[in-house]
Amino acid sequence: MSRSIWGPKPRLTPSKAKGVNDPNTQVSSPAGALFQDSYARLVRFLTRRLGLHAEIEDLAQEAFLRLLRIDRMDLIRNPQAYLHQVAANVLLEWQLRARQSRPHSSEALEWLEAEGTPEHDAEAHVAGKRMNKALRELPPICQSVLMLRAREDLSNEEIAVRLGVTRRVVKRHLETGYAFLRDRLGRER
Amino acid sequence: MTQSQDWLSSTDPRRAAAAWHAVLETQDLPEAERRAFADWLRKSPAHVAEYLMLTGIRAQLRDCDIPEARSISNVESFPILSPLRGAGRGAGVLSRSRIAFFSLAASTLIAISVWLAWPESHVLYTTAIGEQRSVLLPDGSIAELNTRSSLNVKYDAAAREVTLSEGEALFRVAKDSQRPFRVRSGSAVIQAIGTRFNVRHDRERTVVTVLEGRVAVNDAELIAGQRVAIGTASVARSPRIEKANTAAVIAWQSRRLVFDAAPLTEVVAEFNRYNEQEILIKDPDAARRRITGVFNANDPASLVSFLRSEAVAVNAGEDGALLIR
Repeated sequence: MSRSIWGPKPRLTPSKAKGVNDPNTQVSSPAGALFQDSYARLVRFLTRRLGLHAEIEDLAQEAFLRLLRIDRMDLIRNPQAYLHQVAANVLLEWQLRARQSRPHSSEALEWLEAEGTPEHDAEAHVAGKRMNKALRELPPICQSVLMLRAREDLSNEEIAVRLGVTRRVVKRHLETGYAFLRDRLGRER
Repeated sequence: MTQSQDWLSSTDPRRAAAAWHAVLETQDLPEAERRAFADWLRKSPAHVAEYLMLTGIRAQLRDCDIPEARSISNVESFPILSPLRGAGRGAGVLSRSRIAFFSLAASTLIAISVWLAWPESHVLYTTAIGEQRSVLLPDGSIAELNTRSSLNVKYDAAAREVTLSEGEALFRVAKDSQRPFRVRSGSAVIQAIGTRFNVRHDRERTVVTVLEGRVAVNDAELIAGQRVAIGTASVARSPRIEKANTAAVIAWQSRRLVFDAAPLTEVVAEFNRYNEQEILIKDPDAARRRITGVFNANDPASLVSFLRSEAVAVNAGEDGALLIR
């Protein structure tokens, strides 16, 4: 198998993780714009399939193999963005392949990401409710730390100042919060 | 809460992923850590899967909102940082200097007295007229204190107990089925597991309003949107549970006073809770007037101009008080 079937080699992305995470970030290069698209698709895939381990594990397996093939991982400025890009590429290739082999199958249709359809909206609504419920099971201080991070994009330092707690406390609540939500939402459905 | 700095090197991929995610989402890492993250990812597909899952969770979190969690600012930490439950003796011994630090840190909120007798802890918080403050309790629960309030906090291995002896507080309680959260106020005993509710203590009664979840008040059980008033003097057998206007109940957090056809005496009493400048009603006819409106709690002048527009005379008394004639 030659490398070319895996698509274009992922670009090394030196930008800050925060910027890459934010779909609203302005990108000037066409490659960047393309990545924003595929990144958004990756995030949709991951959020919609949180409880479906098999699918996420398949994706992770493939991304893992590609990461192993990198000779000088230490040269990559932003491994997180790099991982996301690799995973987004894998996903894109799967979708293209599914569309080519069985253009009219329901599986292929599903890949077309039915954004904005009533079905998708209902799904997103249910997912949002599950998240809300899980969040509310956390201690209030932990809820506050997660919300200030996720909704207001504050840094650990800023959250610490806002809440009047130490940075260590902020870090601890982020970690326990993420681990808890992953256990609640990421388990087999 | 016994967790450490070392979730990053945890052998549990879920913990390690959570820790890496918390670090990576806001910072540019120094090279050594970048390399450590890359190595961690390349150790196992399970690591990659866990990390990707968190990417999804983080995205979903962004679409989720708990407004009261974001509105909180400047919580005053309870002066015990170690977990009370399951901690070994000595683990939470507090140095005198740390106590001094916290007492100092509690600048506007006056921690009147701090007794510490491990493993039991005991702190009294009070707010002055016009002051509002949040207190972070050792279990992660948060109590927001309204003006002129007094809250005594007593946690031990078996129970979480607080006493509201004066004023008003909004509680957001952390879930802990092993250790009930109990609020005593007047002759009301309020018990919750994990929920959000407001308690207001006046001279004659304590009013409990449930905003979320379930709460037991004496023998009654309340659900979200309900309130109950418990008289201080005589404890009725079965107090009446009523429907509550929850938005009006928690308006105090934004220092708004909301009145719906309330007698002027009540309106004036509310303003006096928040302000040093006292308002007195000298005219019994005026006292019976009904007021509907939303006011800024810290601005008695807004009430004065409202009353004047209704042709009620208000003038300043000798000691700076406002007299309604």
